[in-house]
Amino acid sequence: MTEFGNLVLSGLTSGAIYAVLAVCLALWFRVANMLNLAAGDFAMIGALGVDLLARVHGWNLGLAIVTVLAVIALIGLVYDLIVLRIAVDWGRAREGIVAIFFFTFALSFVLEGVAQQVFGTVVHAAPALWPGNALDLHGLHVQRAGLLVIGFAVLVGAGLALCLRFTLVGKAMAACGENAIGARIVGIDSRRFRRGIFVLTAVLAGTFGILGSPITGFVYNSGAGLSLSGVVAAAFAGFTRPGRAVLAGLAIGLLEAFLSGYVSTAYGETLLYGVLAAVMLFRPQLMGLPEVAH
Amino acid sequence: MASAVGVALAGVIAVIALQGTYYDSVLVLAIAYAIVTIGMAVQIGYSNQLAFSQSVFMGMGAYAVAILNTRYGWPVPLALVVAVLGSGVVGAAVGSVVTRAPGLALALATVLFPIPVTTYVTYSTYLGGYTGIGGIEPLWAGDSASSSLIQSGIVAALILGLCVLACGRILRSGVGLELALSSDERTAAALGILTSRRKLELFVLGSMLAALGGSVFAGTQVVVSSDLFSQTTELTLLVMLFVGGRRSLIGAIVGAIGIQYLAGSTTLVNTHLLVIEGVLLTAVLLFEPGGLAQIAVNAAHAFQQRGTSQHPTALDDRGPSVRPTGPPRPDQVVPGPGGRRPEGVAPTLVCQGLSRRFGGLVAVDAVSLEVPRPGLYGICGPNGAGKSTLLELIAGGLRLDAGRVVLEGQDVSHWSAAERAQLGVARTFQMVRLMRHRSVLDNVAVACLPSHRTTMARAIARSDLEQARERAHAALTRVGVAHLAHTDPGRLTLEGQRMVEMARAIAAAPRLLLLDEPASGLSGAQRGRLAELLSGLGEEMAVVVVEHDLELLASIASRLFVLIQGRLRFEGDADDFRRSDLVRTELMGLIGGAAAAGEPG
Repeated sequence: MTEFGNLVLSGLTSGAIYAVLAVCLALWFRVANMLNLAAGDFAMIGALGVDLLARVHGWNLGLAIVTVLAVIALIGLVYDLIVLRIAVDWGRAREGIVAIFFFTFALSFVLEGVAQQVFGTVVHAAPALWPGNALDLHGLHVQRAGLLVIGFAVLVGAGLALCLRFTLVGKAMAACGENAIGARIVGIDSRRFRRGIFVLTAVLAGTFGILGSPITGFVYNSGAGLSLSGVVAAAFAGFTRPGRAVLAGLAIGLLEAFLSGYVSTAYGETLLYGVLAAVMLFRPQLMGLPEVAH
Repeated sequence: MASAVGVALAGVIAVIALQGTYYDSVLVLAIAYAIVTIGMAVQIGYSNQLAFSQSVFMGMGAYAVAILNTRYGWPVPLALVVAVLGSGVVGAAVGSVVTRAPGLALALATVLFPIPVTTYVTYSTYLGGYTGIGGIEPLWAGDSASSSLIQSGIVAALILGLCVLACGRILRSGVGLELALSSDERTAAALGILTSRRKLELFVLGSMLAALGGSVFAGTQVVVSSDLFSQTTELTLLVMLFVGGRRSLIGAIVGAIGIQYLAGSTTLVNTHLLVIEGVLLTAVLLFEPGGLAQIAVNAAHAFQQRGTSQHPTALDDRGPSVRPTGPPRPDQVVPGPGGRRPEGVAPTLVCQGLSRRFGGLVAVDAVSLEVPRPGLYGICGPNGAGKSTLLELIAGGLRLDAGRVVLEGQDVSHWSAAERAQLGVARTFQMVRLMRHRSVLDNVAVACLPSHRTTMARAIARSDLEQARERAHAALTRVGVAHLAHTDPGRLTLEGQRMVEMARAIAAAPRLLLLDEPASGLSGAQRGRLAELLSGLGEEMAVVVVEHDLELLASIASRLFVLIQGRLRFEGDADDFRRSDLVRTELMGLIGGAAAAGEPG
């Protein structure tokens, strides 16, 4: 029973990581019809940035966090103003599938390259926000950072799902993704939404990096793998539904934990990807993916 | 042919000129990658099949050569052939599963492939674990390391030339044209193209070229490691392809060499490689999606144009024989005008009780109608009456809930759209769907390729594209837009687009032509020209026109059908139609405005 409980906990923890990234991806896809493959890199910058300022340069932790998140927001803003503005507003992004994958993929390369120079190539983690050993509840090992991440994922996912369903802003966001020109005609500034949500999701990803880095540790190229797991989880939410993305992320994390725990420790990950690929190929309708024009 | 020889020659000369130095090894490595990227240019760039599994097949080819050579003592060239063929078999097995999935699911699933494979290879002691496998013999061993490098490099360059030759011939054949259309499944099916087969062939081609690149890698680098399988390799390959030019074989080679050169050059560049690659990729996507290859082509064009006083008219300089107006192809069996049809031959189209519901809505409700022989048949009705759905049911784009569709005595109710198209059903769409990046002529030629049933491999040996282009030109002439043959479809007016689509529909000499609102958006004068054309076509084939312009329909159609709320409410000739109370009460009130606006001139 304890073993089962610990598996569930570890599954939920890694699932929460997928979930946060999936939410970031889904939210922005909903508005801009593009996948943010740099989301994982923003998480990496959050973790390593705070580590650099607080641990190496001895800044106050709170100040370091605020500074790093501000820098992340600035990177997102500048990227939107320069690249996305040209890409979307000049019509370059009309080549559907290319826009979906490759614009932010290039951003990810740049961010990794810069991080390699700034943070070096050694694994680090930001100082724990809730320091202390793992909590022990009747034999269940609960990592404090894990709890923070799970809480963050649920909070963000539920909040966004509610916001999308019940507020005018949420509906306006959905309208931007479904038909940007139509949205503009009825007075929704789809560009401002695209920019705002891109910055918001970058900051959310960065926050997750800071919260969760004691669990995983980060190095300059950790972002790509994180983004990929986010893409996979978001795919099972049709890329557009943040609430479902959280559930998909948690479910994938649990599946991974059970496969590693009960089937094969060494090949748990392999099995996980096998199952996910099989579902994608044989039951693509489960994902409810949008149709893409080429 | 010329480009293939050019690539091979340039490669051989460069390999020799660099004299086995460090930069020679960079070049030879780039050639191995280039073999992979030209396969990706065909698969991803040209045909929009977004498969991200090339690194897996590249690793597979490399490891197969390494193991066959080091463990079993096979000579490298033989190992290479076996590795490529074996990867083709694996590619066919994997492809038969993955290419059935829709495009985005294919992309997402193949993105995952490298992860478990890399893990497995890294843990497998048989495959050399972390360190990989070393001590592989070179493709063509020499006395020293540098002479081995030069000789193997020459072989690699020749192989690259052969790949360019094969891929170039595929792209310039009718199969290449089908590939360009294979991502628009609806149009492809309407033209009788079996996309599932082309997609599988594409996947196998991409896999085999990736494995070949990997084998050449093993035979020139003489050591392989599990990195080859990884997503990092896949990402590098994608950057090479996109920066070089994803729609061009030469571009793919340029990209591979350029990126490999950057990676292998000074430490300053090498340490900032990720940033440089990211910026290059962004710049290409933003400013020239065609990549470096397209930039070079544009520059060459600009240079040429400065030389000539006027911009050259591309029209007719390729010289497909231009036939004057008249029936498109005398050599084709076209069912003649109604009278010529021998008695006792089955009617062109019989629909019996066709029904289709969408949820609670019955869009088409037990519609029975008959199109006995060539001629013009009109279907009209208010918006939402089920007219387009009825056309889809006849063309096979939608599944029937009940009823039968019989074409020339053949029950095709359970046939796919592509099969019906091959039997002689052609159609146009309400929204015009034409291929970008291909000329108007090729957009029409794709409909009359005799090669729908040939294999991709055969296209390497023989191209039937010129023949198809001739027929396409005749069809364009027939609808009066031959002067647009070499235009980019994106620059056509709406009338031009509709006429091109019409030419595409009639190019294959169909027996049944289904037109969905051909006159919508056209002016009065344009409608007049359309009416004339349709009357002419009605002499040769059965033309079923869905249209809101009642006056146009009544003036040309020999028989009219009125569909209201999914039910067939009227059937008769033009005089009955004009006198009908139903038409006056139900239709004129609803769409009289549209009819008045479209007075044929």
